[in-house]
Amino acid sequence: MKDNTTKVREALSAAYREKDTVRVGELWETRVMGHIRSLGAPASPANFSALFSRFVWRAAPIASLLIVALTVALVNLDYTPEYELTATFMTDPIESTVEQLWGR
Amino acid sequence: MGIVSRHVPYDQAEETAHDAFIRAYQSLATFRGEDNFRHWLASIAVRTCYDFWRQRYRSKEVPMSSLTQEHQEWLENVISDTSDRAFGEYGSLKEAREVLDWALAKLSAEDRMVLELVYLEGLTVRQAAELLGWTTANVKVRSFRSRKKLQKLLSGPIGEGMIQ
Repeated sequence: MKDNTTKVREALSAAYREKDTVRVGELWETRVMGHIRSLGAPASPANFSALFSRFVWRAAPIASLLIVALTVALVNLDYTPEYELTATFMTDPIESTVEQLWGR
Repeated sequence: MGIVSRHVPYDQAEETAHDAFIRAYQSLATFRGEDNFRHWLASIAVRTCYDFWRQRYRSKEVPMSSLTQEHQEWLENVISDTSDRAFGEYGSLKEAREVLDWALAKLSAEDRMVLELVYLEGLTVRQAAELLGWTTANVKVRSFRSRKKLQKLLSGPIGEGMIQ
């Protein structure tokens, strides 16, 4: 024999399923389609190339200016690159010391 | 339309279905070709119904009717029936729908949707979770709690412990 929970569930499920489905007419369809037409084209999915051109290329002029400014600054500051120090050690390893290089 | 008709009141079904179609159109970009279109559309319809109830409960527009003597008799008849026949025919009675509407109106929008999908429609927890866009754990917990609440609600008019 079925327990009380099963009985109630079966009866309520049947009541739920028996609910009438609303029949829509052409007028409803016309109204929905009219609304959709008024919205215009749907938003397209964002693709990578579009995002790239939108954000990365916009930053390109600023990045170029920064590169030029940093180059000028490095030249004016008389910056000695590390490879020049290395070259000094390599060409004259016996005479040159770190102390001599730094003037101590 | 069938999905919306089951979840919202008859007089609100057209408007809610309208909203569901507009939402589907606006979300077309999120549809991936490999998905099942019907399933995708069903998911939007269910979520639109859920939003409908959330708005309704927030604005306290859900009618809180009370059970009459006929409703209590209907419940008692269902429970006292000792035959092994299908109990579906009890559902065709007007009282059945009114008892169901009364009980669902006492639940929250979340409990209502889960109860309808899992308990009344017989969907699996996973299917209900996919339609609602929730985690399966959330649906499982809500399903258990909402069923308990329903049992408690229905036990009230006919005596504690009758529906366990």
